[in-house]
Amino acid sequence: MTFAPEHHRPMVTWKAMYEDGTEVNQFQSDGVELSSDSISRDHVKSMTLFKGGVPVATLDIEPGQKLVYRRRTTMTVGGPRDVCHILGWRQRQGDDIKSRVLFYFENKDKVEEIDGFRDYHPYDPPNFRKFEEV
Amino acid sequence: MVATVIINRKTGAGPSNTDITSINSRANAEDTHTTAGTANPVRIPAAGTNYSFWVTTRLEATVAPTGTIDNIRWFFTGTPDTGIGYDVGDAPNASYVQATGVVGTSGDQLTQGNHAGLSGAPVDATTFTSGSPKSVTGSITASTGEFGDLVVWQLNVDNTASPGPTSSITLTYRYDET
Repeated sequence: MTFAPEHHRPMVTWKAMYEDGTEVNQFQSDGVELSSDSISRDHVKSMTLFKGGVPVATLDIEPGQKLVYRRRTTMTVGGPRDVCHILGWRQRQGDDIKSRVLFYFENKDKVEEIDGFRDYHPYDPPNFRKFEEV
Repeated sequence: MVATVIINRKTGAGPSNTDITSINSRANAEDTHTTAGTANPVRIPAAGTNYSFWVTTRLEATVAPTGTIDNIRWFFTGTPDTGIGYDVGDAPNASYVQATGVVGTSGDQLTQGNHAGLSGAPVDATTFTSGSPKSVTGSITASTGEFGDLVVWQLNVDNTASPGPTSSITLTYRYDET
């Protein structure tokens, strides 16, 4: 957890909603920021990204699906910094792992939705945490 | 807090860091960061190959991530000029080796023999594109500081190269944050 005054907050923030109706905001009312690792993958029902307080992407999570979220930053020496938010779920179906992923490109204000990760940037998978395994 | 990450170029014996995130950095025949220096170019050889002094970079979190930064990738964009090539390797931070060579003529070739800290033999940097980036080991969690392995690259020049500054190439780092 860290504390961030409002003017230091990123352009895009997240909010997770649990199946019991409770919500977890990236920034708490007291300014403390939570890592997305703290979202309970067993109880999350949806996750929404907000840009300037306006929702720009929402992903619903069904039972058996595990939420995956990353903030992916691309930095070019002497060039611009691009941020892409990866919001997806993974689910085991027999021997296969299915997934659905939203890529929200912050600078372009654009959402791309694909059926699973790809082998190439920026659509390649992150290093999954244990709580994201299915 | 969402992390603030910069790219450092390391030079000298210390080494010393220069933040090159928002500027360019030249690979010359000297172990010095410069954005436009022409005092020590790599000499075009009559035969064989000359080299820049190798360039060492590493990421640093100057504002700590609330969660973890990992899945670091590095890739090359651009088309080298005729007679110009680029090689890249990586090394653990503890295995930093200062670039050496003859100033104003040629650096020593980036090899495991000349740079004992390299994790493997350097390879053609142009093979690491956005579609197939180089994986860089390392991560950082909820703290500031440098992280990830060193990325070490070098420009090579053969006798078909033309005099003057080479065309710019773009080097990119990418990482994931929770």
